[in-house]
Amino acid sequence: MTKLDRRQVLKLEAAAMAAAAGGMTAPALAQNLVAERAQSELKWDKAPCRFCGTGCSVLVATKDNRVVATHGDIKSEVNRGLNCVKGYFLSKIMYGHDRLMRPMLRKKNGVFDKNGEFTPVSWDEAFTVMADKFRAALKKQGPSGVGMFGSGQWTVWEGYAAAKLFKAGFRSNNIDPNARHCMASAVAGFMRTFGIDEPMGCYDDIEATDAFVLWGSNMAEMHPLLWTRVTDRRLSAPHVRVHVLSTFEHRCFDLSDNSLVFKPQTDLYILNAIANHIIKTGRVNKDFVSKYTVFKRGQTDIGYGLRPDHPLQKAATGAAKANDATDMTFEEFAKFVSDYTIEKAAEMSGVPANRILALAEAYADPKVKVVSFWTMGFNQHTRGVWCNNLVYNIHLLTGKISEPGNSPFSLTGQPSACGTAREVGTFSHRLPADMLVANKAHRDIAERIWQLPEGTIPATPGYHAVLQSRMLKDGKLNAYWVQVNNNIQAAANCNEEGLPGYRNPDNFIVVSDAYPTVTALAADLILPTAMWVEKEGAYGNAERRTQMWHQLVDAPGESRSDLWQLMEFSKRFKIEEVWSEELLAKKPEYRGKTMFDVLFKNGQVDKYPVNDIAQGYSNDESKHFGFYVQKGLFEEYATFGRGHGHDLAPFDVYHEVRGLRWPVVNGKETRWRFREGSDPYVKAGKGVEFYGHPDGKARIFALPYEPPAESPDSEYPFWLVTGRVLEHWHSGTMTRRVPELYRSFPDAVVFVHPDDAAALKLRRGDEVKVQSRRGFIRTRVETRGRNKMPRNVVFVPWFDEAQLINKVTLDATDPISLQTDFKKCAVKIERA
Amino acid sequence: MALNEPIDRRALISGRLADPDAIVTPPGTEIASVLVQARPDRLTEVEARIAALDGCEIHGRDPVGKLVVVIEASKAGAIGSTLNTIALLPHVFSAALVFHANDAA
Repeated sequence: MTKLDRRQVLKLEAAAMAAAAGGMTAPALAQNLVAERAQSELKWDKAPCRFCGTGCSVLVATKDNRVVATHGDIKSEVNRGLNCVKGYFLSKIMYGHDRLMRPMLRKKNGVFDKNGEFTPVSWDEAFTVMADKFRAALKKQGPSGVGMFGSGQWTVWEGYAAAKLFKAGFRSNNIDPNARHCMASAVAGFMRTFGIDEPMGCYDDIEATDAFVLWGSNMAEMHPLLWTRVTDRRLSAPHVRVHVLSTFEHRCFDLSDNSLVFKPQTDLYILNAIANHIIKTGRVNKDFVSKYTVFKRGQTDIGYGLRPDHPLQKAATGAAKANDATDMTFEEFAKFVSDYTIEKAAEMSGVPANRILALAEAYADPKVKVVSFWTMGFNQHTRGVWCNNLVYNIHLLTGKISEPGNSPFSLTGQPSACGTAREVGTFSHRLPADMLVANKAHRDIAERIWQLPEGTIPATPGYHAVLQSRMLKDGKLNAYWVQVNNNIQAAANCNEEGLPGYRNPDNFIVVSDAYPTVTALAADLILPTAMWVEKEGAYGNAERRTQMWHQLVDAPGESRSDLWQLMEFSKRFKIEEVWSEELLAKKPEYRGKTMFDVLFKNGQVDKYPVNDIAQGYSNDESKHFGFYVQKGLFEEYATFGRGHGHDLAPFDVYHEVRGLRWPVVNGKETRWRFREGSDPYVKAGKGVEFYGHPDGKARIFALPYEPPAESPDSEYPFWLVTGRVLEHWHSGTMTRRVPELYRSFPDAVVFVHPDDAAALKLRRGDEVKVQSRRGFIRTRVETRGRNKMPRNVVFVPWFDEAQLINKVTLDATDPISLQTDFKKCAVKIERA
Repeated sequence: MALNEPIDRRALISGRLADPDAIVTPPGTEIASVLVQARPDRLTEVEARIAALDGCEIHGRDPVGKLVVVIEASKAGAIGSTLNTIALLPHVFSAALVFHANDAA
């Protein structure tokens, strides 16, 4: 074979991999290249991608302690050798030149001062000041004075250690993840309908289905790899149809066979109209419905999660019992939805009736298998839980669920929103394995596994994400720790609620991050953090797949992982300082011990020696603490779910495989839950069993249309929708540090319909103010490009820290899930 | 904005903290391969548009609507924008990155 230089080899190798991943024949020359790899001096290891919830596996090459190459993992069932554009960022995200290297404390004259300048300090000084502030807050307010805001980007053990530190150690349930902004409505939807969280199906449904329905999900830009699989299915099976619903036209409409652009909030009409159509045309799967479902009438007039003194909140008669429901019959349900005709839905939504009918027929036709996908269009919605319940209604009425190709599928935006935020239970109301702090039996189980005296875990849910901001502002939450997120940029109404709380002189704010985000810069103490393959980790993706990776490179400077920070900080408190005398009397042997001893050196977490770590890999945390930290935490955590429908495999298995979908029973993963033969938890002879509820039945909910918290009027005539763009992930902390990408979409713009722009005498590129009742940003008008807006609806992406669109948005939430609606508020647009 | 400067609330609110130079320049050239899915009846047109992009070579073609593209860039980071350009071309449904290496020289 001709002697090729390294560059040519790489090019051919790159082409061969792409061809293989696409199921195409590789160029002949490239087929000889496998052997060349050994000479390339690169060490290749697997790791799940750092970005979205799809959970692609990538192979990562390191050389001289640096990530230098990545490619899609051909052995991965998720991405089969492919990777999306964001995979391009992976080898660069750790190398921004403003990477934080040392703890930074605001100081004046050598001591901490809230109005001082950020000054490098040692870890010892950082933790000393931080511990003092936590002590002061505990003394002033009790356990409710301290809190934490975490993330769906935490690794499994980081979320677990944080939840344990706060709920068991500090005895505060004021811990919530940024996943509250992202999929809390999906969680509440699952819990209400099925009694157990997370999708019953898996990505294998994509290749088995006849129709895709996107309910408020721009997969083409936000989940490109799954969209590649959807596209492949659509192109290779011509009978397949793609239905896309959105409040504006985006890239997914290119592949759409049936496009439905609806007025914001009217998805509630369309969902109910489809259920009504199924009933009216006699296509209810009666056998399925009678055996496996019951009907519930949901509480109505449930409010908008605003502050209690807000007029809308005072007027809501059902706000205090938002999650309640009463029994009803199928006949009563049929009568309830009979008002929701296709004609009515068309009138309210602005979608032509024939398109709604075509969509309804896809669901109603027993011969058509349907996958429904949704993300933030449903979840970031003041009736987001209802939307989730209503789409399950449709799948349950027709029995199109829990089998290949029939799948209501909630996608997630963060790499471990499922694996960490949801499964570990880092929410203010949850414990591991779907258990609740408000349930005595659940607290008992957690206290037994954690070897805690009865009554350690507080029974009342803590402050959730939006409430944390309000309590910071009101001076009720005084010591606050933020990890792996950028909440000043991400949370709604940051001008009135977020920032005032951070700068409140009563409060001490700690932010752990790899980069100086706006949130870090608004804090009092910044802790530099190791990221991705600088530590050993585990993530859980949207199809219940748990994946692990080894530490592959060292973290720069003095940065340490979130896990190290949490555990090391716990050494700063004697248990007497955080527990009451009454509680301590039940476990006198804990006297004199630190929180670290009680929580992490408990004979379980410290059970595995460091020489259990696979040969050839660093593990900074285990080296520091003297035991295999990640394995100990994982195995203790896994105790919660094993035997209870959430079974995880033994720790070591995950380092060998490309992830496994839980429940993993007898070494076998589960692809479709609730279906006999596929899910080991379904009892023999049952066929289908929704075992999350004690009666084994799913709930079909009667829920009406209710209006949004704020709608356009004569003063603020436009709907504002916020979201993401392909180039940037979330708040851009990582992606804005990749040079060409930063330049390719450097600044946010406001996407406007050309006729709206003309009516305002504005042209493309003009500078404008986008103004709401809460604040404004300056930006520029975009009338072309990827997003085509309908009249009276504008879109602004939120990645741009120079244009904080969340100064404009409204902090109204779904009253059940407590998740913010980032998709609907009223704005006006004026020339700047 | 240097970290040891005091944070100015007005600068934070108006977004003037953003630092466009806060970006990394990896060493050497970069190579990437991309699997493109496009409307089958417009594949030739898409192929031509991609081939015309700086640093792009077509290494494979399937009439069902697939192209294998290899991108080579001597300017660090240029692949990112090329990738996005391809993803957003008319008639392109998706552009999936398969392989990416920097320091390829």
